Amino acid sequence: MTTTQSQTEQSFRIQTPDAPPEAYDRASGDGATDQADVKTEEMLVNMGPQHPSTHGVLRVVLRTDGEMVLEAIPHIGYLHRCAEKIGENVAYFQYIPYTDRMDYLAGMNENWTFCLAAERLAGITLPRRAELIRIIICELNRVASHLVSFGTYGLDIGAFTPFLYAFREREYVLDLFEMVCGARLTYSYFTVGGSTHDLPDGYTDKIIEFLDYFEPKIPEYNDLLTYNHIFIKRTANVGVIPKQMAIDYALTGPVIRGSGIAYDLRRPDDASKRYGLYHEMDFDVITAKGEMGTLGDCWDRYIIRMREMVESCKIIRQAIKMLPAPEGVGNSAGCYRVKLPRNFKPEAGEVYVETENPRGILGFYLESQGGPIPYRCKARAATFCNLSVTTAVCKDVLLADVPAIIGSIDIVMGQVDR
Amino acid sequence: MPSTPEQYFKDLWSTIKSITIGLRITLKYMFSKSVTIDYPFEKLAFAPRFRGIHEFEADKCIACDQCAKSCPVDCIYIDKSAPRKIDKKTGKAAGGELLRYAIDYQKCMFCALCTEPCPTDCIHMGKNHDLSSYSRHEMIVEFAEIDKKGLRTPIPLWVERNAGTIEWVAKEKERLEKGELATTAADIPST
Repeated sequence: MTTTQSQTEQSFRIQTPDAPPEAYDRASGDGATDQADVKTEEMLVNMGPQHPSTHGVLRVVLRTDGEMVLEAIPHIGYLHRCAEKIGENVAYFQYIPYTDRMDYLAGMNENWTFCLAAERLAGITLPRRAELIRIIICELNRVASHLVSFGTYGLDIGAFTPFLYAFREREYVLDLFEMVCGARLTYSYFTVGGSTHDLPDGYTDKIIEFLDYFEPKIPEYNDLLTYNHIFIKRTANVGVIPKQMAIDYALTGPVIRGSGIAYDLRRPDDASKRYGLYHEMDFDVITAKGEMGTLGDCWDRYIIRMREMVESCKIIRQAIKMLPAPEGVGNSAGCYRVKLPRNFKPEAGEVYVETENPRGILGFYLESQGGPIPYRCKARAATFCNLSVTTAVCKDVLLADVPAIIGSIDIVMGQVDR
Repeated sequence: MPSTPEQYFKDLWSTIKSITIGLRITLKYMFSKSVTIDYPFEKLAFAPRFRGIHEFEADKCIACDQCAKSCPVDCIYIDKSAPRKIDKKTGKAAGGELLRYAIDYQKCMFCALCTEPCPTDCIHMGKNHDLSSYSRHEMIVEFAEIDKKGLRTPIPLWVERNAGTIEWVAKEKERLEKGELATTAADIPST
């Protein structure tokens, strides 16, 4: 542990002089030297847990010296609901509503991961239609989740307008979810062995209609926020996570791809980690190139999400083309659900499944002893691991950059605390 | 802070440029149609599968406890005097009396797991999303009691309050008082 830490610190220090002079000037306090007549002293500042820019109930204790943040320590646990322990007390299908409440912005993806773990435990393979329904719905959810991330990131930086545009489009996605499962936030749409309902009539046409409407909006967002000069000044060269640090802290999702590492479980290097039918889809894993400054800065992490929305739209269009005709419940290709006994009891064994969520890799570890409820249920939350890098990144940064850094990591406290 | 005057003016120029681009988009939407709904005065359209406050058909319920068993938060309370069975002639449940069927909406999380195992399809997710009340005990809805008044689902406070002023709310109240179901065939899972 100590060796990795010192390595990261070193690599972090090596990076700093390479950064353009603007970032360097910021770090030295705008030319203020020891001769300046203003004397500052260290102060502990509590940011949160009710701070609007901490994305929930995150409390960050900042050790500040004037405007400079010397150290930022995140304190978590304000939203802890014993979700893992609850999993050991309810049946497999009853736990699905609880997974919605972990990452409440991407409930469908969480449902999928848990259902996938239970299915792997019982050795169930899904019909083709069921798999494609999952891909369509989860990629829609990824779009909705990235829209929130993009909108609220603008809010953190001080741009209010993009937020309203992002939520307008998200509303259409939520309407689509309401049509398919009846809920707008806590979906519980997937169940062990498929999904609770088949897609309604004419649903795919509605998705295509939405995509046709939505895809031209992304360049509009880019005009509004991405290439806005003020936004670039606020995010480029801020909160740089070098490649090695990203690996050391086990970062996943857009955060690690923002550091230039193409790590996406939808396109795993190892075929045994494959899930769903993503290997049949044609899409690119987006990685950042450090266009506006240093590789791995806040702007890079932000642009990953914007570009991933385009890729998600591509995946949805392909999946809709591949969708077989509906056949009801059963095992043939067109079924949306495998018929399972109500008293679902997988054989004794353990399984660990990881999937790529909008915020990174979500893993579920399940252990069965042959009964109707899991013996052990554990979730590896992406944002929990991503949040751990905050202390390393928020070192010698300006106070106003801390919300920018935390926002770019895109945490959801429901998932961090579980 | 930019170090040179050239950089300063360059920054100034790009800031003005990007603000103009942003304002152009805002201006475009200023004159387009609004996407929001003036909610209490305009009716919200719900999808057929919308999961709102339950609608319960007490005459079909055989009090088999399947819904209570599948509830992850144990918020359904059922009590009966003797076994109930569906009478094939009338399609209604007969036998013992359904003493209590209550759902605690402080606990309920609208996951719709209770509607799936129901053998007689007597519990559905309704179309009401608003159940506010003045006290905690009002959050426990006694569906067996409500059924004696001919209702399938409780009448929310806002419906009673706004029925006199808003037209669609008056229609909604009429529908609720008649005991008509908002549930359609699409709500009932085909398992």
